[in-house]
Amino acid sequence: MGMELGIMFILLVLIIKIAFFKESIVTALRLALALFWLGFIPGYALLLYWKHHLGNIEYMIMSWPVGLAYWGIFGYMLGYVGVVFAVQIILLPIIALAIGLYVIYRENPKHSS
Amino acid sequence: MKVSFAYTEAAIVVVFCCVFLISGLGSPWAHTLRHDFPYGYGASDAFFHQSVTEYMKEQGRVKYTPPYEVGGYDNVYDAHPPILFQIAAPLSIMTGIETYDTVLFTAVFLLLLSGLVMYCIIRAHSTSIALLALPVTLLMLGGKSLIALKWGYWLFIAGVFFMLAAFWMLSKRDVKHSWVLLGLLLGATAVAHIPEFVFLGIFMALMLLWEVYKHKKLPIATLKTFIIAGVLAVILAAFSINIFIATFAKTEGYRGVTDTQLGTTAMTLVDLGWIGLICLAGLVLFLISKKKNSMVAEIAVFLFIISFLNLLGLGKRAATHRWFWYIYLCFFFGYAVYFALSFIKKEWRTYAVYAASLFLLAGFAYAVYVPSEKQWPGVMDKYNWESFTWIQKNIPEDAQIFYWYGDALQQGAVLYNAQHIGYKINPEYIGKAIQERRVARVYAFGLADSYAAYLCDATPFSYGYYIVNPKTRNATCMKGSSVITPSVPYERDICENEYHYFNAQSSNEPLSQYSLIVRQALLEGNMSEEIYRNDLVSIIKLKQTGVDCIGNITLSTA
Repeated sequence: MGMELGIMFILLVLIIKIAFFKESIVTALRLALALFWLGFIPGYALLLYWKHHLGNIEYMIMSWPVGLAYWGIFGYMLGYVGVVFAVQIILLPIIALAIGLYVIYRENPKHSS
Repeated sequence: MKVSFAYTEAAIVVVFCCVFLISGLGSPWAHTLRHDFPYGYGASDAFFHQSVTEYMKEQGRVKYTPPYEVGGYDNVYDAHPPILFQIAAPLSIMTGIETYDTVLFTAVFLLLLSGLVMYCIIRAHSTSIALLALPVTLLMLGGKSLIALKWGYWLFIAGVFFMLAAFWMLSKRDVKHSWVLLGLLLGATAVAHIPEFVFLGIFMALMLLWEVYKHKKLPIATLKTFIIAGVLAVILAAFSINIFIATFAKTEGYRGVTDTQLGTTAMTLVDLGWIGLICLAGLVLFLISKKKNSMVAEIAVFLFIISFLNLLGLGKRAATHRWFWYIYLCFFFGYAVYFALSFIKKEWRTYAVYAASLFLLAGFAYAVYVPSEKQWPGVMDKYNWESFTWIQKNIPEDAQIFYWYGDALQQGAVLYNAQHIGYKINPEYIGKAIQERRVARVYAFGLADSYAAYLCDATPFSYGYYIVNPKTRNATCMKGSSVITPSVPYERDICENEYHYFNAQSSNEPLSQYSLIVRQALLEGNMSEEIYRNDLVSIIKLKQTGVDCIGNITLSTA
């Protein structure tokens, strides 16, 4: 899991840096990190429950729309009731990660009933 | 030497992503992410989304629309689908990149992901066909399809992206608890762009009917999944759908327009050229093949038909989908090419697919790639941008600005960047004054606004509308009609307008020359002063309004 995430992040930085090669590495890193945190991580975590039904490439690609859908819907909801971006940025990916970790915990043979 | 198919496939996908981002944004942006002003923006809608994103960033959330875009009212609900702003504004906060850059980046990124999602849908049928189809999606960055990006159809791009993701989930509907993901993706489609949500609903209804026809009984499991997912989606998108019902559904609703509403920018089958012929060949080959029950073909054909529903009165809500033909139809392209490759010996076929995919990738990249130095920078320039920034900081918040003729200034939403209520000159009135060879005092000015209904809270539990525009002292949010009436006359005496904004040059020489003559007349009238100037822009302030403000100047003396 950690390796998959690491590879995905490195690829994202590489792709951004190649397309925008005149930009500083810091900006490319920050953009990759922001996209990764808001779009990919939540999707990756939420899709864990269905991971066995998906191929690796499919899983990596489809994490994006699932993550962005989660971010878009729940971020908008929170904003609507007054929770600002600064809080949303921290809260939403962490909740998604918690859901993902719970799925891993449940799927562990020791804990599944 | 045995090459791992999975690694090679992944490598081709990564190369595709690089090529897409280079052609779609790297080259147009001269391979930098930060710019001094909106770069590569082609029309008003693009500036509209950019200005809203900037306001949402300042507000820290997506809810209300900028007051200067709705006649000066505070707390008017943003009627547009929120997801684009919800993604682009935090990106700007986290990266320090300006919103005008992050919002366009978001649109290109979603377009790239749309191609990849279609790749996943096709992959369920055949990975080889998916690899051969993927390069075709690069053509979204050229020809008429590029209009979706350049002109700012970014909400539509977001809608198509989530719609395709929901289609992918529909193809996986038999997976346990699929309703959760289906509901989430359907909800996101509704929050991204309502028409695509409606099209998904139609497709799901057709799917059910087809299953009833095929199996001669009601598919209970599918029906259950769809109903639960649909209810979840409506709950998740409730805020957005509620606002849509109170605004666009009222003011726009069913268009009843059979024209594409896109003029010459509407795609026709001829625009597909030889790609279209190969897709057609792929469709024919698919229909005569044994494996005809493929969901990807159903999706492709459905989306192709959707793009012609302007004939049923859906206007551009349907016709804009033609710009996405390269994504929708790429399966048939891949199918035809794979058919051609199937004559190659089986042990070599996998390598042939890799080679053909890379060859197509290179070929299509060559077709859409435009070097940075030949890229169009868009309608904004650094002088107008500097002036807008100056206005934001130096002109009182409630002041109104009157914009004389300038190329960029004719796009209404461009003026939002001054963050003041803006009016733009109607060029016909200048033409009339030129014909009469006089410097007139009265001209028509159109208010720069983007909303057909100003939704607000009439009570803590019910919506209402502001119905006069711009804001008047006694305007209140009222239940009832959403129809907006102007509170100021269309024709205005320039001596009653405090701030005038001029561009020294434009592509229309007579109009800009005349505008400068008005500027000169204002300055010679001794009732005005120039409060800001750069190489292109001059801003004049009237010392006193309501008195004769123009000097004794005629077109022959100017």
